[in-house]
Amino acid sequence: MSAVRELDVSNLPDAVLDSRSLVWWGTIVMTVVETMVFAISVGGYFYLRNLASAWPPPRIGPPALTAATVNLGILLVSVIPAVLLDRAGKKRDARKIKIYLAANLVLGTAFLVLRYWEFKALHCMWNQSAYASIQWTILGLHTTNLLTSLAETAIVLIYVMTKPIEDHQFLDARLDGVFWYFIVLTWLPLYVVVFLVPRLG
Amino acid sequence: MSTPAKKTPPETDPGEPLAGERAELAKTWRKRSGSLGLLFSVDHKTIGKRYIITAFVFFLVAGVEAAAMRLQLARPEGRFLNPDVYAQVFTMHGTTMMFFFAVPVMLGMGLYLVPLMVGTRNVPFPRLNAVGYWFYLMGGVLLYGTFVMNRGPDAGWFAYVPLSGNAYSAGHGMDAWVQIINFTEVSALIVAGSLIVTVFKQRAPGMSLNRIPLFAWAILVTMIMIVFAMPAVIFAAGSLNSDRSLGTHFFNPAEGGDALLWQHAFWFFGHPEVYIIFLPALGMISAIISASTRRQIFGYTAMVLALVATAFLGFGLWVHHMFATGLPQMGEAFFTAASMMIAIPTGVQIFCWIATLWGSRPRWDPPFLFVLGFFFTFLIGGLTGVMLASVPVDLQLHDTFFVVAHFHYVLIGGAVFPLFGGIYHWFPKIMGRMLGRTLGIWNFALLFVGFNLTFFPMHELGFHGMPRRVYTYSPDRGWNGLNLAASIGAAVMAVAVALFLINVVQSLRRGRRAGDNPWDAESLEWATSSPPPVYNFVRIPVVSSRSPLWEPGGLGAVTGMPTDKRLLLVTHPLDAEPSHREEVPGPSVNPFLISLTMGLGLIGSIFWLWWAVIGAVASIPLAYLWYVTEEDP
Repeated sequence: MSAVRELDVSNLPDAVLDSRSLVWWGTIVMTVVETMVFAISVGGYFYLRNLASAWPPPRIGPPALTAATVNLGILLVSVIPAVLLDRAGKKRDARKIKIYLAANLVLGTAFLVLRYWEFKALHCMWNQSAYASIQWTILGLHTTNLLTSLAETAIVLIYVMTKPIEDHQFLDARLDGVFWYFIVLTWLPLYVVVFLVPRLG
Repeated sequence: MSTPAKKTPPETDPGEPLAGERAELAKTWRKRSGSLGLLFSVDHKTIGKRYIITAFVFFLVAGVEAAAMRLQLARPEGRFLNPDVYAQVFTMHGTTMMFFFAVPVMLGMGLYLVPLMVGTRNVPFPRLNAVGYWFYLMGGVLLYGTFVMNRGPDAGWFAYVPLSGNAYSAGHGMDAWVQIINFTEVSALIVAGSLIVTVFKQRAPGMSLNRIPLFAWAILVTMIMIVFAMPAVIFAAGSLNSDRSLGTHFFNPAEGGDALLWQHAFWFFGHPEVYIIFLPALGMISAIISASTRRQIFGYTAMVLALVATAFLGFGLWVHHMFATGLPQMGEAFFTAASMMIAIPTGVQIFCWIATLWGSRPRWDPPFLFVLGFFFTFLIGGLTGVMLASVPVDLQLHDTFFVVAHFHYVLIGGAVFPLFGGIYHWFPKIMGRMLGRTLGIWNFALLFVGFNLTFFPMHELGFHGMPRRVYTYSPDRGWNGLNLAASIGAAVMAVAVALFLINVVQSLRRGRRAGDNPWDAESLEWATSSPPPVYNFVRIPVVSSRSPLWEPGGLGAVTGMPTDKRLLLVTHPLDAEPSHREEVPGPSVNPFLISLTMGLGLIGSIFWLWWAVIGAVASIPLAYLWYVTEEDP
């Protein structure tokens, strides 16, 4: 054995709860893919807007702002439990991650319910014009991500309520928070694109 | 593949105090046995091999389609295929070769080899990785399901609107095509996620960024390209799907849509796609040249930077597919410049290989011959590419056989020749036996002659104005001789591929045993037995140079990794210092089941949109089951 250099790793930890973990990297790759999908869709949006003589078409008119702005408020508030969830996971606080996962689920669901009125506020169905199609697409894509995040939150919540909590769950709780940051961060520019840009005329 | 670990020759590790570790690793990492066990596989080698084999089946099928087209075009006014079937056949040929052969076979090679090359035991998300393969397989089954029912897609592999829209492609053929594309996107993105994290986080201790084997670099860069390119086709396919089935107006000019939006979105994916196929092939060439000459590749840093530069530039070229659409001249000039610029990093790589070969005494085995074939054919393909990058030339030659010749020189020359070389190079590792040398040389010679005989005349046909995708031509155009030559060449290529298959079958039965490192190559996949045990390495290697197996001091080893759990050693992304250990899940049927519910949902949505929703909802309990079983294995 003398010729072979050996490196002892027996005292390394078996789990880490932060950006060194593989699952964390996987989550980041996924958010990059999704962000790119949004970016391409927004590219399509401005491509179509460039071609249009009027944006939105006069018969449709710009979207209403009330529901979307109220919902934006809810989304911004929902960052608070997400941050707390993230921190509770880091500190391995089993009680708190249950509370904040539940809070995240409640606020996320509220956001999802109000999304119905956001779609209505577009004042058009998807099949009325290219403008309507791209608006529905962007709003729909964000809603799909939202649904995925809520399903993930629900699964982790059910698990931590019914089974013993280990390091895995603390990490998953943190990642649930991270994915929620992604939902919030992507919505900020998308809100501008979907609800404010059409008011520029 | 299921060679029990005990048979591993003892000389892989000095001394046999490791027998205990070996036995326990084999038990911990064992696969599920029995035929049902096939649905449970999560080993990167098994999945990688499935990708490679499935892709080769599609390669043969698409080859038969190509042969059918050459049979039809061998004579003027041929009657072998009617125009409708001909349109389906060329669409199927292109779709199969691009989406079901070229990309997946590279994904498979990457999945099999990269974890071995960087010295880890499995990919980080083994179950997700299994989903990727099932999606790919379902997409292929769907594609050929529609074709067998004579409802195959027939709008070409890039499916331009309005031809691919409802008005000109009624029926479910195009709807199915869109879903087929979705299946391949999901599969490619999953492999990309797996391998990006593998390369950044699971390298053997000591393998800092400047010691990663060039093939692993090529795969890493390719996977990052997939992450940024696939979203464009997700958008394109989604929009086409909703235009066709929901009545949206993305591509309908009457309602503010635009047909060129499709071309932009498709080619923003489609051009990088070419590099997604081509970059892994470059990595293979580096591995083969290094093993054939027993030298390190000259200019490692320049090689890596060239790969990265190619990837960046690859995203700035898509409009050169659209020069004939009347874009603003300023834009065309920009894309001409970018298209010509791509020759620079490619040139850097070729000169580095030449420098490596200079004065060496390479081993003239089949892998090396295929690399030489690459140099010749790819050079021609690259030169015609520079020609086509010039707008006036492109306007003359657009949609002629010149373009067909060009991209076959690039794709077959640039990717299939290196791939065959790669198969000859790594087959001994994967299957434990050498492929036959004599048959290999014949395989190469016939493929090379047949290929050039098929495609070189097409340049000339293009100059003479023969358009691509026509099902026949009249005898007085002066195209008869060249077309016949091309068809004869296709027959020669078919013989070459048949020889390859015979070689594989013969070698599997009675090929020479390979041993661990038959080529005396430098990288870590050759440090374990052939085929490797399911856990890859008894002890994770520790490397101290770019060519760990050529180190005079021998390979170092990691100790203190518990063997009773499926643990990976996670390292830091830059210097590969050990960070921690992480457990990965074992065999499970969940990936198969969830692929089935999601996949059937997507397929069902061709006929009734709500099936997609039903499939997604049906997957939620499975997702929970997945999560629960991942937690307590």
